[in-house]
Formats: sequence, structure tokens, C-alpha cells
Amino acid sequence: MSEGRGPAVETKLEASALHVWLGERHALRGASISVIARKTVAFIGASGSGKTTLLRSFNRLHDLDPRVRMHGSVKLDGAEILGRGVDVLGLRRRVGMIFTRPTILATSVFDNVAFGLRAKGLRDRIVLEERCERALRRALLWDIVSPTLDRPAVELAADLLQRLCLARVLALDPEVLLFDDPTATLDPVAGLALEEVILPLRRDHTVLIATNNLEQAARLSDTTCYLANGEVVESGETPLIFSRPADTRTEDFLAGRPSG
Amino acid sequence: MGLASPTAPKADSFRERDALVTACAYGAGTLAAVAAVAIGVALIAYGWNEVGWVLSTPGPQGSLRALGTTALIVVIALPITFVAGIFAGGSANNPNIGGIASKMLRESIEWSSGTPPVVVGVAVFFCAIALHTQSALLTATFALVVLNVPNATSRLALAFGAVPRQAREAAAALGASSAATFFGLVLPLSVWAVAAALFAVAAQMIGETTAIAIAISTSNGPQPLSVQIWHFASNRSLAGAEAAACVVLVMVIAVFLALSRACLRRGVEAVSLPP
Repeated sequence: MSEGRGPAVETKLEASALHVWLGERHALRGASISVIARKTVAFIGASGSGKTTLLRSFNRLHDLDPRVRMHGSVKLDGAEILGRGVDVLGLRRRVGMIFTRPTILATSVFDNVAFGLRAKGLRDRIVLEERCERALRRALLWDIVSPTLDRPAVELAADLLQRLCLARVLALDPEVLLFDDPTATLDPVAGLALEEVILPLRRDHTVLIATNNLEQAARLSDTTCYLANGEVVESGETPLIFSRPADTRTEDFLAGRPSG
Repeated sequence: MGLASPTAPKADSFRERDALVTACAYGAGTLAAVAAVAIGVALIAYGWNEVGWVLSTPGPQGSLRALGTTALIVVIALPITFVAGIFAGGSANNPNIGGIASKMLRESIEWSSGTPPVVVGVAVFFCAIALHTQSALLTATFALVVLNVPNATSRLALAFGAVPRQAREAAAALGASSAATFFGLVLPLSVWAVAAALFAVAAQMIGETTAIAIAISTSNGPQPLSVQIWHFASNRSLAGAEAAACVVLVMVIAVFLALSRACLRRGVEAVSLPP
């Protein structure tokens, strides 16, 4: 996906010949992709095509499942992140992830946002408050939750929970944001509201978003990558992919036709 | 004439019931309730007049002193059991412990929880002989720890396992270590389930007889209440005192089990995340 001409571009993330097995299932088959810094990439494809598996490879969340095996290379800023000897906890702070379902910790709003900072070892209450406020402001939540920071987070309205999860990640100042179909459990209005939050974040972060919503992919991304059966079929500039896909499988998917 | 508004049907009224299984379940429940009431009535009828006596009599026959011994043993044994149980129960759900170590841990929990108390008692008895231990308290404590660690572990593993996987993943994705995830997320979320396990294991420890009786059979010293009741049984003239001591024991255990149930209900609420 790196452009061949123009100003020098900084590759943020790069996966090469990446294979992932979820138990016996070969979920990712030699996926190769490079992502330019501060660009937004949308991953589209049918359910089970490997979108989530690919995203979880970038922050090594697969490590939590002992059945998962990986082979290949994933680099962040040119440094290999697979294999032993990598600071996985540090990696996950640099590569934050927002899941499909808002996973709220059963604590207060403030403790939710501060969880990652505390896990990092930050104890200074003033610094914690500053970082949390900044994160909540960036998630467009501060005005809503500032009077109720000490209330249980589960009391928040459903459409705000995903934004709270985003604030929790933003508190760590990550360089890369992984969104795993973040609006799938939201109604259309709440989904668009979340997109409004994501849009300005694209200036400062490299954003990777797996989505089943093609319109969302078109609205949010600079680059779109189509996956099928664990393979990267095609990737390129979003307008080009949506208007003139090079591969017939991409064309079939975008048209809603079963691929031959 | 207006239409009569329909009355709300009973919950589950739309569901087909298996008549035979339902009847058997009601029958078994009724039998169990009748048996429990009959045992309770028999104990109270036979031992009620002796309750005052067993509570006020000084040792070695006084139940209050025996209950104190029970409390002392449980107070020593419970924290040891729980520290071991929390470590093993937490480890059982830790994905970073993989391969054969994880499998062996889970298998050992399953297998050791089925070890008969008499076997544990004999094993501790031989250990006490080998170590020349004379202290009945120490030996009884050791027996209770060995006997209850598997039980505590499996209860705690269930409690920790009830914390949703998504919550653990969310914590891990924020760069939290296994320890930070456990102490910052899993333990606070499962605190009520842990408390329920604590009370349930305490109740089991209070009622445990066989292992302790065998383990301390050669020791001269204070006896816990359950063992004392067993010794009452060798003297027919103390049948009333035995029944009275049983009433005391059952009441104490009932309190712990009630606390356990109450905590368990809170625990279920605590780990329920929004849909």
C-alpha cells in the first residue's frame, strides 16, 4: 500500500507472509500488508475472512489463546514484534484496541479510563486525572461524564460505552488504534456519532478498522483492504477500490454477489 | 359489554414440561425436606435439654470449648488454604501457563478433590509420626489444609472463570500484565464469589471429622467439635449430649452456608457485564 512516488512515507505497521492458525483452522494464509503512519486502513471482507485475526496479530492479543499459532513477520516501526523477547505489554500500550462489544470493567467511569495507566504503574492522582480528562475530551465524553466520574461505568447509556472504551485506550496515548467492527452493536445514529469521534483521531494516529459496514469503510478510510478466506485479495486507495476494484472477487463482494 | 382484559399467564406456562421428571424432582425434593426436618426434630427432641449443658460444661466435654478449638483450627487453616487456592485457581485460568503444566494443574485439582478424607487423615497421621509432631492443633490444621485446598481451588477457579473473557482481553489489550489483570480486574470482579467460596470452605472445615479424627488420634489435646461428637458416640450415656452438640454444629454450619449463598448471589450480579 505504500505509494511509489511523492514524499517519503513512513511505514508504521507491516505484516509479511503472516499465517495464523486458530486451533485447526488456518485463519490467515500468508497475509502481507503495510500501513503508512497516520493513515486509516479499513479491512473489509465476509465474516471469517480473517479481519479480526489480522487486527489481533498487530497487538499480539492472540497470545491470550494457547491454541493460536502464528508464523511470519509483523513489524512496528521496522522492529519485529512476533517472537520471544518482545515487550508485549509495551506493544499493547502503543497499539490500542477497541473491540466489537464495549467491554466495560465493572468499576467507576474514572477507574475504567485510568485502568491502563495504573497497570502501567502510574499512581500520581493528579497526573491520572489530567490524562483521564484529556482522553475523555478526545472521546467527546468529558462534558457528559465529568459530573459522574465516580459512578459505575455500567450506568452509562449503551451508546456511550464504546466511547468510554475508546477513552480508556486513548489515555495511554497509543500510536496505532485498532477498531474491530466498533459500531456493530450500536444503532445507526450511535454508530455515526462514534465515527465523528474517530474522524479527528486519524490526524494523530494510525488507524486500522475492521468493519462489515462498507459505507463506514468508505467514509473513514484512506486505504481499503479486502480479505477473503484468510488472504489479502486486494488493497489500495479507498475510492479506487470502491469504484474500480482490480480483482473480480472484490467486485463481487462489493456488489453483494456470491463470489464464483 | 366490554372485552375482559386477559390475565397474564404464569411464567414458563408456554413451555412443555416433562411430567415424569418434574414429578420425580418434586418427589425427591419433598423426601429430602422431610428427611432434613425429621433429622432436625430428632436431634432437637433428643438433645434439646442437653444444649445448655454442652455449652456450659467446661472441657473436654463442653461444646463451647470444642467450638473454640474448631474456630482456632479454621482461622489458621483457612488463610493457608485460600492463599494456595487463589494461586492454583488463578493459575488454572491463566492462558500464559500452557502445555502440560496447565493440563497437570487442572487434572490434579479434579483428581485431588475426590480423595477420601480417610486417606488424607491417614497420610497426615503418618506425616505427624514421621515429624514427631505432638500438637493436635497443628496436625488437625495440616489435615484441613490438605483436605480443603482442592475444594477451595476448584471453587475459586470457578469464581475467577466466571469473569468474562472479554473483560480479561480488554485489560490485556491495555497493556496490563497477568498479575495486574488478576489483582486489578479478576479479583475485584469475583470478590463476592471468593467470599462465597471462603464461607463454604469454612463450613466444610467446621464439619470435617474423619480426616482430623484420624490425624490427631494419637495426640492428647483439645478436639474440634466435630471430632468431639464422634467421640461422644462411643458412650451411650452421652447420646443426649451428642445430639445437643450436633444441633450446635449444624447451626454454626448453617450460618456459614447462608453467608456463602448470600455472597454467591451478590457475586453473580457483580460479574454481569452490560450486553
